[in-house]
Amino acid sequence: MYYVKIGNKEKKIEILEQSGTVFDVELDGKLYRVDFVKAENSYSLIVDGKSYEIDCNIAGNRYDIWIRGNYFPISVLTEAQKRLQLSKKKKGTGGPQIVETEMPGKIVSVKKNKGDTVKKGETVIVLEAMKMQNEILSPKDGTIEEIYVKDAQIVEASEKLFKVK
Amino acid sequence: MKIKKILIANRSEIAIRIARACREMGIKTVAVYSEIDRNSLHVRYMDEAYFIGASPASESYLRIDKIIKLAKKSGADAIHPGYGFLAENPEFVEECDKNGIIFIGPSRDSMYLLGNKTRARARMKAAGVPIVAGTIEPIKDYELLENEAEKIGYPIMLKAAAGGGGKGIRMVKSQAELKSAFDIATSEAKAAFGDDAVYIEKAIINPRHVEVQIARDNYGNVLWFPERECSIQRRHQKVLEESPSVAIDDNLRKRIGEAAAKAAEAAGYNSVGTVEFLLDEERNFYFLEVNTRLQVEHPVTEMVTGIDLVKLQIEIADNKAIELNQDDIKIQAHAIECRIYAEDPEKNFMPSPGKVVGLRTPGGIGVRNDNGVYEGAIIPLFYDPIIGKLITWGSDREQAIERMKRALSEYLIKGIKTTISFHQKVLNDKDFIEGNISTGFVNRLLETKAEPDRFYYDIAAISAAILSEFNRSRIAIGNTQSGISNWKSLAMKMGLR
Repeated sequence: MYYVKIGNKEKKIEILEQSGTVFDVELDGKLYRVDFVKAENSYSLIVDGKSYEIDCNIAGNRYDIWIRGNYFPISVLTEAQKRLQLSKKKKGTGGPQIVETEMPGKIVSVKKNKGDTVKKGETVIVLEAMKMQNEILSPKDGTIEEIYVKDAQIVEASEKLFKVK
Repeated sequence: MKIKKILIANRSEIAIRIARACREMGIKTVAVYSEIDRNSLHVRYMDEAYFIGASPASESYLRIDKIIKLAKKSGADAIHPGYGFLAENPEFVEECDKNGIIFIGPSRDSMYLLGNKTRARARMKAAGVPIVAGTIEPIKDYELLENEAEKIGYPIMLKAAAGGGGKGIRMVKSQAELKSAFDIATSEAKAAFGDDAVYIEKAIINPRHVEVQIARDNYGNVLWFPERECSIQRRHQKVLEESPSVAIDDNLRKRIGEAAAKAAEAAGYNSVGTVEFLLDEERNFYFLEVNTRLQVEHPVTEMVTGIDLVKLQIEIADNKAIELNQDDIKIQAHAIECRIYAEDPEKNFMPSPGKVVGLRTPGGIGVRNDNGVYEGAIIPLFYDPIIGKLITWGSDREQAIERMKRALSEYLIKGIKTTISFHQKVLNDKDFIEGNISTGFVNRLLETKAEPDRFYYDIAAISAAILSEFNRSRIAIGNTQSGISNWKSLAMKMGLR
């Protein structure tokens, strides 16, 4: 069983059987028979006589999928991963939180220091890419426990910026 | 032809666009590149290439001294600035002049005149080109501003005299808002342009942004081209353009075109350029500004007229007289351009630099793809987010739209976020299809959440699940129906493939 999330919608999918290139798949209780073959970087699906070409880029459990110019950012969790996520959620956001970059860029300014108190939504770091500035905000009220970057540093995507407790 | 070699002081798609014209004309090309651009497409495309400095533009593409030095070293007769970077910097033109290098663009004086909003407004008013009602002289004194605003009537636009790029612009709805808007606008203008003078214009409600391509040579011959409609904008920057505009008929086209030609004459302009106008709901047009460069969206004009504007620009710089007559410029149907930005339209157009890990480009009838990337290319975070432009031509607007939707559906860029899916939304919007657009269109569209095809959703979800199963090596995926032998399937499972 997989938990597949597109936007804020989650679907449960089970792969029931495979015979050659044909898969029987159950999606939210509905059955699909999918003929699924691959070329170098893309896949061809035939479902009930309808043909689809899909492209995919995979990073961890993140699947970016394109179908005819439509783009679907998807996250896929196994049952075990899903359970882990739920138990984490129960614990709530009381613990320290590490904020990461969403895009690569250059640190334009670090507005807070280690030990500073911050309010939720307050700017901690300003990041610039492609002539546009983005303010990175604190996700909660608390204290800055760690700042991992400094002025003028170039950062990649998903790099740690700061920790707030 | 005096010009035999051109240094192109730019990068990405526009550098390649210019180099393509040069290659067709038998002119040699010289590329310059920053550290991160060593492996960029423009470097690979041109005849010569020279390193100019570290990745930030201020240390490379904006370095007038280094660019002039390299032009001389490589023996280039002329420099083409493209758009952005040094394209509208009169100081750069001056340096070219001093060093005996032809600048492919207007004269320094014409560029200087048009670079300042209030100077340009005064000149246009004197020449009889309609301008938006408002002040002519720059204002620094608040009381004077308050009196003028009262005379013009609210709402008004407060703008920086030295402005550009949407900076220092504020709409003021009533006198109560004026003082704080004045304080902010003057400090912004001071910070951005080193000049705190402002001026005011009557605000035009739901305007369309319409512009006219012009060309004028050193002998005073002038041409105007059918207008481009550029109302689809985000952050005061265009994302989709088309020609002609649905709001303009033949009569208005001629009037607005002749006004643009008059503007070019009044400024002593001597290159290709663009005169921007606002069009109000009663179809009155008002001069906004002149872009003294080749525009990003010039291809739509090329597609509807069949004229190579870069070639024309180079010939004018080479001191040739324009051979075409105004009667030679005819609209052939309709063209649309979609700007492909490395941005995430789902996240307020946040920049998305990175590596292009997969690229499939559209083709077929009526499709032109001006792009600056290849599979494996790095989109650096230092420069403008534009990575390409997709242009379609159709025998009418409807066909151009359908063709663009088709071309976008073929276009695939993996590894970074792009505006491709956003353009699909625009082209499927009822107001857009009916031509009912103004500069507020994008904000309105972003508020309406369109649901993509529900069945695609399911297909995408199923694909992700199957690929996930494959990644865990629990299944094999073959490449033909006839099959996977047991041996192959075992190998796949063990990751030996």
